[in-house]
Amino acid sequence: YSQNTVSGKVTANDGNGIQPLPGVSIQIVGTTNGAVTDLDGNYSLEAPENAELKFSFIGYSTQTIPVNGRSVIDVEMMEDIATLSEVVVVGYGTVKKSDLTGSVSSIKGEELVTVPTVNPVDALQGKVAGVQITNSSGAPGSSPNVRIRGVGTSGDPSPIYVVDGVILNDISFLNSKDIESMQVLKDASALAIYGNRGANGVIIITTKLGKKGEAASISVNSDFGIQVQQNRIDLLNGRQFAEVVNAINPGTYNNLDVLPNTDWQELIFEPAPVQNHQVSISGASETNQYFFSLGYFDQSGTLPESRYQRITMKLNDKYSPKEYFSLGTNLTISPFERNNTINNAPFNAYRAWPIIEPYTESGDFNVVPSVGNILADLAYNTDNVTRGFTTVGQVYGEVNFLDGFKLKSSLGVELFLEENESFVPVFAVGQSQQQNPESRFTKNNFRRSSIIWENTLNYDKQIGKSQINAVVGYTVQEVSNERFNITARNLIRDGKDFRYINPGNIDPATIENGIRDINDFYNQISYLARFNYSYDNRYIATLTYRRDGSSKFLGDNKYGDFPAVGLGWNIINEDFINFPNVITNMKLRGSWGRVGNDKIDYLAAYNVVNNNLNGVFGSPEQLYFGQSDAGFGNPDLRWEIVEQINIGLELGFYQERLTAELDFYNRDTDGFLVNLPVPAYLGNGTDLVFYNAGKVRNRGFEFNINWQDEIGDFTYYVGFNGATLKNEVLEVSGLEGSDELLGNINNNVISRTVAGLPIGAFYGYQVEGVFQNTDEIAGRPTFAGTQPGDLIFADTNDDGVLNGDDRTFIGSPIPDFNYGINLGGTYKSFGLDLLFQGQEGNEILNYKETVRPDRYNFEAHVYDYWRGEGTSNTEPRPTDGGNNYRVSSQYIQDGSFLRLRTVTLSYNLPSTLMENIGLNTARVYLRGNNIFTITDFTGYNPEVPGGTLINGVDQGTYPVSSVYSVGVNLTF
Amino acid sequence: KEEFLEKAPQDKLTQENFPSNPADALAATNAIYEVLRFGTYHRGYYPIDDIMSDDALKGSSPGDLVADLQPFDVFDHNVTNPFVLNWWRALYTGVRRANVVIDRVSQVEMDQNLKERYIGEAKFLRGLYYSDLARGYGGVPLVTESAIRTDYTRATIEQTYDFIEADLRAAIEALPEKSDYAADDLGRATKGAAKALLARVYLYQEEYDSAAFFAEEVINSQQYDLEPSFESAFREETEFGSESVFEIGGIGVQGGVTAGNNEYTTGQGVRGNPNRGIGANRPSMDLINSFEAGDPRMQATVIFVGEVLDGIEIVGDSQTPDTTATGQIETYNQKIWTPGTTPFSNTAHNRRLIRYAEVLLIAAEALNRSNNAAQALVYLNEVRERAREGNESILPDITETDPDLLEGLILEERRHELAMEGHRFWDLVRTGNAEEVLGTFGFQTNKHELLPIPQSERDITNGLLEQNPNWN
Repeated sequence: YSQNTVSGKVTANDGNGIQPLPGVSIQIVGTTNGAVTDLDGNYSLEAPENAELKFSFIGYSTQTIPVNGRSVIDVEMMEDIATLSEVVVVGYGTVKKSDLTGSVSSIKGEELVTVPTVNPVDALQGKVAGVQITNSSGAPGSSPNVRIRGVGTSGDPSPIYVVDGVILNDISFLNSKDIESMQVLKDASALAIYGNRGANGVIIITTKLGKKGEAASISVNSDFGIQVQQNRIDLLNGRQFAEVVNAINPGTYNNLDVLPNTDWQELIFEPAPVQNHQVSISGASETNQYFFSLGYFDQSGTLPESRYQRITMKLNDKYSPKEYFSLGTNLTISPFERNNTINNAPFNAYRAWPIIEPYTESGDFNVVPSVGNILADLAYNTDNVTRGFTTVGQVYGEVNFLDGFKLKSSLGVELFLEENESFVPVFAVGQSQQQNPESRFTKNNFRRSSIIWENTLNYDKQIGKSQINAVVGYTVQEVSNERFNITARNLIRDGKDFRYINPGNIDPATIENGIRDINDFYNQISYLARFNYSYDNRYIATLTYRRDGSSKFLGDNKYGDFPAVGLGWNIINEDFINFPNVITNMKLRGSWGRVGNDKIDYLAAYNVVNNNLNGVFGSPEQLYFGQSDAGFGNPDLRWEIVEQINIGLELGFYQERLTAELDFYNRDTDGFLVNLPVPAYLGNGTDLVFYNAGKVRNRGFEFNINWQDEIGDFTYYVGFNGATLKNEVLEVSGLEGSDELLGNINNNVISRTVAGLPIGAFYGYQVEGVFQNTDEIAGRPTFAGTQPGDLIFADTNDDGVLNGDDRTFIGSPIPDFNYGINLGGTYKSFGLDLLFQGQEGNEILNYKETVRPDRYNFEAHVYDYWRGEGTSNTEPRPTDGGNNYRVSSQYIQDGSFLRLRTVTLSYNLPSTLMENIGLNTARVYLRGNNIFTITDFTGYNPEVPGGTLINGVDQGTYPVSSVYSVGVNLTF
Repeated sequence: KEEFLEKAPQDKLTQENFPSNPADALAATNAIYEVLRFGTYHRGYYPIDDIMSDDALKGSSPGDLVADLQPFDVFDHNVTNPFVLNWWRALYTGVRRANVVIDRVSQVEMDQNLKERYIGEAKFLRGLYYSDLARGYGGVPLVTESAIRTDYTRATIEQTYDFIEADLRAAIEALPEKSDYAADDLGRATKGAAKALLARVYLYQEEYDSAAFFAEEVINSQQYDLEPSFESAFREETEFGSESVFEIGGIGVQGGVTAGNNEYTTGQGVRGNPNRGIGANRPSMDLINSFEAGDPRMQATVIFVGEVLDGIEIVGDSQTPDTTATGQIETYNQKIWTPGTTPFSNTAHNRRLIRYAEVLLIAAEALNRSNNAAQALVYLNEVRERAREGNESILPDITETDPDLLEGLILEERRHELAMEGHRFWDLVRTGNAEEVLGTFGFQTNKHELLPIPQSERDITNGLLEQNPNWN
């Protein structure tokens, strides 16, 4: 056959229309000859007229096309929606998704930018099965709680983040638009490479870098929103409050018609703007890949005087002067400023008496008994600013040598500096409350630094049908924190200009200073190894091992070993599966392994002595330095060890239009770390002591099912992901001789953790109604002083006595089921995306209602109180304190909810319009977040903070708001 | 490389290397005293002592602490009340710090005399803390070491008192008299303080011979005397004066306990104008009316609205009259009055925990019970004589010699002399008069003599600590 010149243009639809695709490799099948497309997507080569050309490019389906004597062959590449050849970032390396034996969920950068919050991890909400993101505070700049596969610890159940290889506890300094991808590692096979830090999951974040062969691009993104506080808690109005107080103390208010009616909630909330802008440049040459960006985020709070502003500067650069050597840097500098408000203002508005006018006739703040005038707090206590910056950076070098070896060494640094300044002027609201007799200026400096040096040797090699992918490494990390505090009082002026000088007061007692605390100070050394072997794309095995040493533990407990095994079987590649148009993917995988958790106070193992327990002696009195035992250390502390089994099935049908990923896991946390109260008779004050306190099992089933298709110009997708969770305590071994762990708030026990129940299960009295008359009271055991109208508590142990032994399990704070529903579509240039998120089967303890040392306003339901026999069997007679307020089922509420998390309507401007103005793509959108929530819970937000022994307890929070935004994305 | 994983605590000593020198030993001893200035140490006191008695009402504004403090007025407090726990916790914090000195200072190489004094101070203070535990809660766990244990059970009340007596007897041996201390050390435990406390402890156990013996030891020690003026016995000018047997100092600057504040006054200082506290623990009409006609101690004990003290007019907080008792007027405890207008200046007040007048009254009561009415009358009338301050028309000398009648008169005298100082409730209990006097407030015999063991403490210890009778 004769050789012909074949040429053509390779294009692809990248979502914004048909574009030339540079860098596509074209190979003449059966030979080593070929060519690569240029920047305009054009190619040209010599080929026999009966030859077949194979077009391939990563991320697109490979196409093989016969020449058939043609001289021009244009090809449109199709995105490989199966993404089976997608490369997944795992710890200390990458693997093909099809070679993965672990459970890893990937989220691409563009999916991360739909939530107007400071922390990119917010965007995982409702998207990844088994990941629970809880926004318990609406304070500007606040970060959510993140839980991966349940709660197994009480130390700190948050995952760790690995940003371009640097291990961090927080990523609120990152701009989500700078992120290329996030991978959530969930099972032991994936996590074991992070050893002692992997127990609560790992989120690996890769930031953007220009891709070789891609044209440089400039992108501009801008987003403006308004936040609105839509929810109100239904409280008593002024008249109702007075009536309820009269029911407690008859005759307190005799003229109900003249009482004011102040709605404190209305007075504190205001709509607030949020904006987010970013400009970035990304590109690459033969030897250099880069990405620069500058971002600005500015969120005001729905409470007065609160605001968070952040600038993010990102510089990623990788320089590869030789084929075998490259040097790179990833650097983020993120200065921020946060104006702090009174975060418990909503809680105080909830408690404030509605019969008090906020201001006196002369315009001064009125005294609000027992609670204080929250408007005065907001006026006098909000000159409080925190400024700081985070720098996270890394410099790395890579050497490729021999055949398939890569040596990488990186030095990563995290430096977080923060300075808080607060000034409180002299003020007096009432004569006995809300007073500050001396002006006060406090400055608080905080530094956290972490240095991590990592060295890894990777080996990647294909030998026949065998694919080997291995890594060994050695890492060292040093972490230290320090806080320094100084206070001056009686400043000579109130103005901002007079805060740096000694106020001139000769009394040295007006200046206080000292290093207040060092709350983290530890070192770690780790050795790691992983061996991944795949045979014929069918059988895969991964062996992982890490050995970690940490200075937080003493003696033999310093080192821990963390092994894991993963196995995979790509059934789709077996000959007996042959339904090419129906089943396009089928993979079974399983893993077993151990990981650890060391998130405890660095002093937890030490018996420390406290300073400044001073004595006062002499005439005149003087202060004498005192020191004594404080706290108890636990020298026997060791890692918490998580042993996890995972079985997963991945399925794809109809050219991957329908995909499903199913995982079953069993996660046993042994020796889970808990901070426990010890008996007060040991003289420990209120200090808690860390223990390895038992064994807890989290078991669940996760699924992620997606369908996508197109009908003409209409493309659409529907996704449903969810995770069941059964949390069960297997064994409790905390304080000696005790088989229970008690969660308490201000010494009120609210949860009791025992074998057989979920961790942090609510514990209290079971309410069986309201006593209607004295005969009923006489007929059963009661607390002293019980009257008709009081709650009936069950004598659960039937011993004829009502006491603390009758408290029982009254609810679980852990949801049985978390889920997310994604759906949306595009028609021509329009797009609509919706994300619903919800949970089922958890309870919330409305602690706001239970503990009332003083008289506060009441929730509206209290107005239906018992007024005599037969009037109510659910709402007791009103009291200010006493037995009705004991922690009981009366205050347990259903925490299930369904929320419309995000809805986005977008429009892509037509390309014809844009070419004239040099634009590549332009997209405008309208978006709403937290539009509505369906729930029976009466508080602001059913997403209440989660700890372990104190979980699902609403103690009054800064509620999250609804956000309505408009935005634009442009690329040049 | 192994050194890389050794990171010792940076800003704190550890119990393995403390106390290791004379300065440490002194610091450890000073730390025991700090607890005496805790609000929780005192706030265990005033609600429980005086608000539970007929002498004082909750006070403050009607809504404040209505759920936590108000119940003590009407014996409606329960096992989860925070004051019940906080007092227990503060007392045991003191016990722990005393144990550090008793246990470990003995191993420090230092001057032997000083070492013995430190241990003596620790034993006095441990005895003091346990004596509060004993009268407040009954027999309690006797903790003597600094280690985590949860298997303690309650000692009997007899064992608890034996333990206290042993500590106080050791303290008497080891401690110097008040006059042997330098001026800079005033406020430290003395031989006299230990004897006085031991006398009180015997009185509570109705061991009158011993109570009389130790009270008279104090009286005969020539270390103490009554101040000429009752009113001034609580004021700045008599701090560490002749009447002061044991006194808790305080420094009135902003900065809390660490800076030297004595939080005794913050809860019960005048509410409103001047602003000296939240105005809890208000003297009751019952107390005011109980004084003998013309007894100047009434005016010296009670602040009435409109009074001028040290040039400061007491306006009070008229928006918050005490509505919890009929006929009640706005009053405050004058015994804690310190000149000034701010709550933190009030924290300079020195609380006289044991006054010489109390020692005289202990002696009188104990001697009367030991059939020595004659000598009892001498001590009793010494107290009355000072109270009358030369005004012969009031508070005549008592001449009653019938032991039962004299007993009643001595207890009346205690009520007036020691009013608002935290004695009344326990006096009613120990003499068996509580139900008669406090029954109308809700006091129940066989229950309210003791506080309950805090529920959280019983929860943590798996119920090993038995609850007091009739609490649930």
